[in-house]
Amino acid sequence: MLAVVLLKKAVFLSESALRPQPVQGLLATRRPFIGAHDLAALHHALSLREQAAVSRVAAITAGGSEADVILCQAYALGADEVFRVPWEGDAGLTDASPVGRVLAGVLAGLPAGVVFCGHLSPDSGRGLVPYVVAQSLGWPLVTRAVKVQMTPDLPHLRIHRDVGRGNREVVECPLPAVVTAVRYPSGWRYPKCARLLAFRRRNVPTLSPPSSPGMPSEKRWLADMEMTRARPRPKKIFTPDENLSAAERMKMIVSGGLKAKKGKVVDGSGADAASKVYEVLVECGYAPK
Amino acid sequence: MMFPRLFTPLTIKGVTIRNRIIATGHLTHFASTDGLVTQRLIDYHVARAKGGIGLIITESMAIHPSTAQSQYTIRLYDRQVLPGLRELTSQIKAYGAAVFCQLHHMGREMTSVDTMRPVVAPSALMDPLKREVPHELSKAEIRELVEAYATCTAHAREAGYDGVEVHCAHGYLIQEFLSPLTNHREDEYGGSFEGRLRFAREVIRAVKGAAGQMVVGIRIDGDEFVDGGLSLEDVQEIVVALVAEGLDYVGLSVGHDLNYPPIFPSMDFPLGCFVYLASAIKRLVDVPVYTSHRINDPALAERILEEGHADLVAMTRATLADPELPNKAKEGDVDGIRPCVGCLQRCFHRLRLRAPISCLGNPAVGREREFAPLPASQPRKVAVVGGGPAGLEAARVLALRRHHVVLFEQEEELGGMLRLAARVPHRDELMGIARWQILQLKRLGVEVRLGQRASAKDLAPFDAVVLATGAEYGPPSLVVSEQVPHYNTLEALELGEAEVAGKTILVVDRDYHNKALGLAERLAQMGAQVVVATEEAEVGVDLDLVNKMMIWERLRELGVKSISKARFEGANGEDVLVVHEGWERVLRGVGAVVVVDKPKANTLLAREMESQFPEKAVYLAGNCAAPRLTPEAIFDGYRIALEI
Repeated sequence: MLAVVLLKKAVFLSESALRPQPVQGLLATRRPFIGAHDLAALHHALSLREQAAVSRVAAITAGGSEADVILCQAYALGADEVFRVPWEGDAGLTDASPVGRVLAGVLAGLPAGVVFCGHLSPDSGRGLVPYVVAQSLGWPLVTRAVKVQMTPDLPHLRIHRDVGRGNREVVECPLPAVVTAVRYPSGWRYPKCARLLAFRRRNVPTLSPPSSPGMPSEKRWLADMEMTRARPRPKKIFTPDENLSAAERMKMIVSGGLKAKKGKVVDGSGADAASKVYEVLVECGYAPK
Repeated sequence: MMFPRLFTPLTIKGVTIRNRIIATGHLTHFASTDGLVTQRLIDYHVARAKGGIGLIITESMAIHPSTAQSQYTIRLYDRQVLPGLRELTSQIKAYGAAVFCQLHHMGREMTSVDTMRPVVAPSALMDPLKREVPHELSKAEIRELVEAYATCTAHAREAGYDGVEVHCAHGYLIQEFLSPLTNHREDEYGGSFEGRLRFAREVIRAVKGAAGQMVVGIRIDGDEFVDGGLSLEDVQEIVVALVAEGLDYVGLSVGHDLNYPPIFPSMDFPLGCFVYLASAIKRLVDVPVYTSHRINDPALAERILEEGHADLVAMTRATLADPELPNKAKEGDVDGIRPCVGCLQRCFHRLRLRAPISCLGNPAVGREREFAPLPASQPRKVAVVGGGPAGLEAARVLALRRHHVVLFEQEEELGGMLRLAARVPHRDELMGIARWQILQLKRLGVEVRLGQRASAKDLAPFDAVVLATGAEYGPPSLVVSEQVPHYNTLEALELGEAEVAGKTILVVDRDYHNKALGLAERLAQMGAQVVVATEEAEVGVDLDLVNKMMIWERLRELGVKSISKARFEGANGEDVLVVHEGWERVLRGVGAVVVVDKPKANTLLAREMESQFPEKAVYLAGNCAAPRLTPEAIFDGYRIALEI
């Protein structure tokens, strides 16, 4: 089975993902790069290959020959095959919908079992392409994936979705499917120098969409598996400075801790102590004057 | 519910823990000297399971004949222990608690007294407290130990445990491999971070291989608190690497022989002071994390969970003090929870004395069967004289057993010696015990007559009398110089800043516990130059190690000096001649002398009763029977209340 990763050639970062800034001047000087979400998508595809759930990973981008640099990065990071879909327009910024349809057409001609995309691109921040691809192909779309595993009973993917505020939803998705990824998981993949050099020795093949892609005949549905609540993020807590000596660290702990011992101490007994306690309560605002 | 997070179940690898309160593995000395499970040990754990605790990690068990924490260590490597352990686990589980087993090798932090074999360690470096030079483990011996961990895991599985915990904390064998301070090996088990981690990795892989469906976790020190040792950052790196081996949970701890006090933090440590270690680990791993050390209050435990610092909270000593703590917290009966004040007098200190553990506030620890306060078959009218710890405890247990109790106290306040003890710096929590006892008396409807000095005539109408009249401090037993004022312990407690500031005060320790040191601290805080002297080998010779280390840490900062093995040979006005192991030293300008003697039993009323009502059932509890410490007083009160 083939896993396909759709990569966006990003050339600048907008200050706001929804309102791209006119930074045409910068375009000439900035190198294209793969956005963080697209990197996460590539990572998920590669990890499926490592789990032996897919046999090959193909990276596809739309654009002119200047987009080859994106494919070069994907190849160096471990993609088995790279393809470019020729596209003259401004892929992604204004042409998300037609680009999506063209990509869907290309995918229809490939033996793709799962298609990964970044949830949002770093420039336009719209994330329309995966929706268009899924709609055009009639495949299920699972958004905001943070962890992807193949279920033992193929061909289903078990996908952990980030549903906000740290909460996770787990769904099982029949294949083929389109999956969008939201962030790079822990750990990092580094490009391999040998593959960067190997990329230079090869020509990037191009793929053209068929003139009239066939529409799917059957609908497939997701299955909700579980919903896990976010683990509470630890609040900030007093932690001694690592640069201090061990003795100084210990001294700080003994004098502090989660519940510091320092406080008002009332000395005395009987009525005398009671009146002093009352004064403290008044001072702290717990008792009326 | 008052503590919703504390009572949210947690499932670890199929094992559901009914709430977030756990007891960490702790030696009890309730096993037999053959290392077998006893009924006493079962009763002890069953009491905690009945009390509603979520998880019990039973005491650290020896994985190999080369290790023994004491002669009472359970020898998990020996199949003979399995029937007893099966009984233990099944009884704990019958009350709904999960039960894990702790796999343990002491490394160099032991003596060969119990094993009669050489102590072993990664490197032949002497332990500073046990002072035995260990044998450096060969690679074949390391392999043997790794196999021993796997074998013992299989034994734990056979015994019905839900999980195993590999002890990587407290400076024991695995930590010795991890730490650059104790691992000086030059082979693949030492040197680099990966090398030092190798043994732990191999052990965890072996344990995982043998564990099957059992939960596998570790307990590890979050910071060695020794320069050049493992810091929190190092431990974070270690934990991440070990979790990648498939651990199901991580427990955080602290303390070892190079930095002893945090292992058993006394009341010198603030509550929850090491929670930050768990918090720093929890940020990095996806498996549950537990925290421990000085967490004695469900409100504090709830806050730790609420703020996300840990998933489980170890309240080991708190459930020693009150096994019913989880049930009471669940019902919102916070006032009913007997507090752990971190005194260490009967848990840690008795372990050091190689005696079974108990608790200052809870004499029933380890005596769950014989000390169950069953209702009296014939309720009687009982007078208790004295509102100190012994009298309060006697009155409480008598009332619990449905006797009609009247408590006489000559002062206007209850608490007795505990009130005095709590006036010494860093000992204020001691009063928590008396406060709890007083509250229970109110709940049980005990009639308390304050400000009434009971006479023999007052006690005549009662069926039985418990005398807990305490002890008194007489004139100082020693005069160092006729020209200098001398004070006893009580008088010294009353000294004000104006009377001591700028003076040199000699404190003579003839009590041998914490009183001389505590008074020295109080006087030094008020501006006195203090010298503590004793005829014994050290000041506070009978005080437990942790409290002694902690108080000396503060006394050093206050400039307090000490002279041990001191003989007072003479004085010239304010100059005192002291001989110490043949050396003569003149202490110049001594402005006052405090002689900290043992108090004398107050038996006035006992003798009066004996002469006037010889047939009356009279019991002596606490210091009036013989001057001792608070735990013995409370124990007396409890024991006598069961006898009536």
